[in-house]
Amino acid sequence: MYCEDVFDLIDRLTRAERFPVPNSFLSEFLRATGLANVAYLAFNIPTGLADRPLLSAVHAASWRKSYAQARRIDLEPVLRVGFGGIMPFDWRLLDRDDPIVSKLVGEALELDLGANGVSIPLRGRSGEYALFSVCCPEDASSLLAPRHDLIRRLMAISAIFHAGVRDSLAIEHHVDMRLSDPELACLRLKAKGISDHEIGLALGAGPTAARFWLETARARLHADSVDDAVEEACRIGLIRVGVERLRSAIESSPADFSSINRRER
Amino acid sequence: MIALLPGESRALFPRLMDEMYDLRLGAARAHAGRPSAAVHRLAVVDYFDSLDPLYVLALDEMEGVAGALRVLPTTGVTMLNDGFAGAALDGLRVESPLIWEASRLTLRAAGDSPATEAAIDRTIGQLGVALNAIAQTAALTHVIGVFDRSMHRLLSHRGCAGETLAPQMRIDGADMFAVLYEVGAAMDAPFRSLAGDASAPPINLADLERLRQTNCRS
Repeated sequence: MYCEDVFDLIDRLTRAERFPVPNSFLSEFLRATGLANVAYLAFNIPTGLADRPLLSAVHAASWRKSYAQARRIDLEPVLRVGFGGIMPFDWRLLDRDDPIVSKLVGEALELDLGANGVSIPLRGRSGEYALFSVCCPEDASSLLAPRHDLIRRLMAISAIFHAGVRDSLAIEHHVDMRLSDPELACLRLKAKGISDHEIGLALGAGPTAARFWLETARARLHADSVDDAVEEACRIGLIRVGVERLRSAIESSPADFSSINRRER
Repeated sequence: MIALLPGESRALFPRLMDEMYDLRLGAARAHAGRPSAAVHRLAVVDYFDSLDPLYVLALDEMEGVAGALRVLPTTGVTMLNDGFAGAALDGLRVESPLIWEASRLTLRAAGDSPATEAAIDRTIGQLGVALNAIAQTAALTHVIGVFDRSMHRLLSHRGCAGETLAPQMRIDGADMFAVLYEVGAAMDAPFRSLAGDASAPPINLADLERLRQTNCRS
């Protein structure tokens, strides 16, 4: 993305029509993590219309006002780095001596938003780009640690949110809950409390493959964790396992951070 | 040295991009049986290069490109999902924000300038260590490698081929292999042993360029 593209993008953002998107998902996410603010920006989202819309969603009311007043030209450094790359972007890496960054950080501090945050670039199968950012006040920056766990959670959550937005804007809604055979097999065995190693053996592979199929199943089911994916698969009837057996399997399974992080139970 | 080059910054580093494409071209020419189209530059730049991927470049002492690979998130358009029509998964896409695809692995060895075995080892090792480090920074769980037969053979001989993910596929006359790496120590170890002392944290060229521009302004 070149500079001209960024300014053109910001100009389009200021002129863009707003789509009402329910933000209860964001509220739940903020409550669960303790983070204060979430911002989401996307363009080229497929809608079936000739002109693909640019979409933005900002959670904090004070921030929304600031967006409108400041025309958000100052966001250029985050946008450029965020949209231009695929790596999660830690705001600590922003060059704070850059006058544009310094002004942005100053405004964020004035609004009690904090200057620490993480932005997750998102790419979609239809060629859409999006940027999902969280930030928190300075005195709550401990919420952003440990980074690895938070970034993994944000990567998963932001993709689920983006999929929700894409689906809500789609003209034709079609739910495709088809899972592949290895994904179904892994979920079924996981529900029975079988270890990743044994699941891998059952597939004629190893634990790496087992965790891979569990992760793709989690993403396909838009679940927050593998455990949630197992529960969701049971709920919608993709797999059938005795309820008592499922619960005991989940409670007895050891913490495993090699796949998506487990939610505290 | 390992350099990261976000696709959107490619225009700032034309020499590195040219050298990377030249390596691809050299590799294409080296393989008999490829379609004749694969002997000019345009044939080695594909659609996926237009999607602003992340390029991982292994640079030698003279800052020439000794090896390269391309990284794309599987939530977007990828070779595995869109180049092979979902052949890996019964027509279903492999999509997860925690799984990225590495493709277009190219080494100087496969091109016009033969490299020593030690240099090949070092370059493969450096690229693998860097790929694992990038994946850990992005908190990924897995990386899918989509490699052609020659690269797959090179990796296999060095114990770095990963787990087979899908049956052998074919695109533009070339046999392709999809393999799986689990991010972490298990992925790092074999590549690190190849890289030896040469493994070092990747440097993001786009960040360096921004820093240089800031310094020029001030």
